[in-house]
Amino acid sequence: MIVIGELINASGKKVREAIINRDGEFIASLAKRQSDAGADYIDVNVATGSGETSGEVEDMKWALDVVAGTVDKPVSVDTTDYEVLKAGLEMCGEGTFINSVNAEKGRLDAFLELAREYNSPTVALPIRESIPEEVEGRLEVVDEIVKSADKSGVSRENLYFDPLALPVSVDHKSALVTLETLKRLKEYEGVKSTIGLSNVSYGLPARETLNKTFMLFLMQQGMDSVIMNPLQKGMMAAIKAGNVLLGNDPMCGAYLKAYRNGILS
Amino acid sequence: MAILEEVAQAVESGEEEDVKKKVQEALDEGGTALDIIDNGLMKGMETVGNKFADGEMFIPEVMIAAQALQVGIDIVKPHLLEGQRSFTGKVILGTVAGDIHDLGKNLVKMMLTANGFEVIDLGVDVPVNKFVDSVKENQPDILGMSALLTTTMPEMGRVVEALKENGLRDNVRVIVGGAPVNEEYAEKAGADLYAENALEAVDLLKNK
Repeated sequence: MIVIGELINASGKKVREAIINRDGEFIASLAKRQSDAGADYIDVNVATGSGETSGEVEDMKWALDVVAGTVDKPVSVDTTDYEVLKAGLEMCGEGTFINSVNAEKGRLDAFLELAREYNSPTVALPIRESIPEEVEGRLEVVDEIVKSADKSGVSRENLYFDPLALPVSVDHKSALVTLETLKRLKEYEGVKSTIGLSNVSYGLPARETLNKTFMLFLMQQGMDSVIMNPLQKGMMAAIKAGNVLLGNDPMCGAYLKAYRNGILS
Repeated sequence: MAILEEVAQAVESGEEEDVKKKVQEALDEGGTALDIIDNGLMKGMETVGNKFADGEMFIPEVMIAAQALQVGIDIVKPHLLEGQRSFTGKVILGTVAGDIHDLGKNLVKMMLTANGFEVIDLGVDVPVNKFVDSVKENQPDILGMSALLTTTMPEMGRVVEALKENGLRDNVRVIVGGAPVNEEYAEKAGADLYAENALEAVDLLKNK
């Protein structure tokens, strides 16, 4: 289970200000804390909305530089802008995560071209103009993206589809749609999965309980990766435990290591 | 009238059957439609809104209460006198072009409807001209726009500009919101109001 730490994201006010004010210490500390907590990748989103693309390219380069100087973990370049992505991949090289593509015309092919060039694992959202509410609608978009990827020469192992978590507070069956979509991804041989899952608990109390339980259901269906806040200890502990119980942790090695590192309690 | 308190209570607990019964009782006792709406149904919804703000009630419960409220309104509506409005104002809502986030917008819609506004929801990824056409056609009191991406926020300013070009800007108050939006940005975009969350939006629109 690959954990992508989501905390360096300019939609949060503190991070946005840190980027604008070039507060390297703040960004470095977020990178370090996530890495220590067990994140495998550090997501970097610098869309502050305060300037033009050229500014965002500079922001991305700066933030990636800070992260690379702090932790020895690969990053995930989180952007909708081609130039920003390109600059990020040029800096970080092969194997850098791309977050994300969807079926939006124009962007998909351009992003896939970069994914191929840099052999990048890529988050793919089954979204066109809106989020399809039903499983079938999501799979239609998955189909479209897989076909484009096959054509672009992107290996299927590098496609991480997000089956899309929506709040159960608004529609109490929405998590079932997510789980079923994840199951049906298996129709596409080789593709992988990831999820930004905290949306599921929006509008309800004790969100971590829901997130954690959902996480375990997803893992049971073969989820490969999650985009989340790794500082939530309960979530990280549940992942370690889930890996053991699903037979993905030989001799319980990672579980015991996590225990000794204080991640389980 | 004690019965109005019971109407409010029924809305708060989200019991549609109770709401029907109590509203009918209130009418039978000679209560006016406006009084039943303002001091019964809306009172109950106001309590729900406050409890939601305080983290005592949650989205599913607010939705149930809003449905119960609607049931009550439907019963008293025919009893309104000529010229009396059963709603506080007319609002057009939408998420701007390029943006498909609808959670926040839907929450605002729910809270506004619950507070007696008539809401026309244009959905997500709404292009500038659709906002303008809808304002022209429906003549709302308020236009509300949502953006969840820093990359789509500038659409708000474009809509305001287009309203000006079409001579519609002075007919409507513009309120904006969404995670990356703030007071300063709202002003830059030429909006009249900024709300940080759904409750603040309702508060602002009711009281300003």
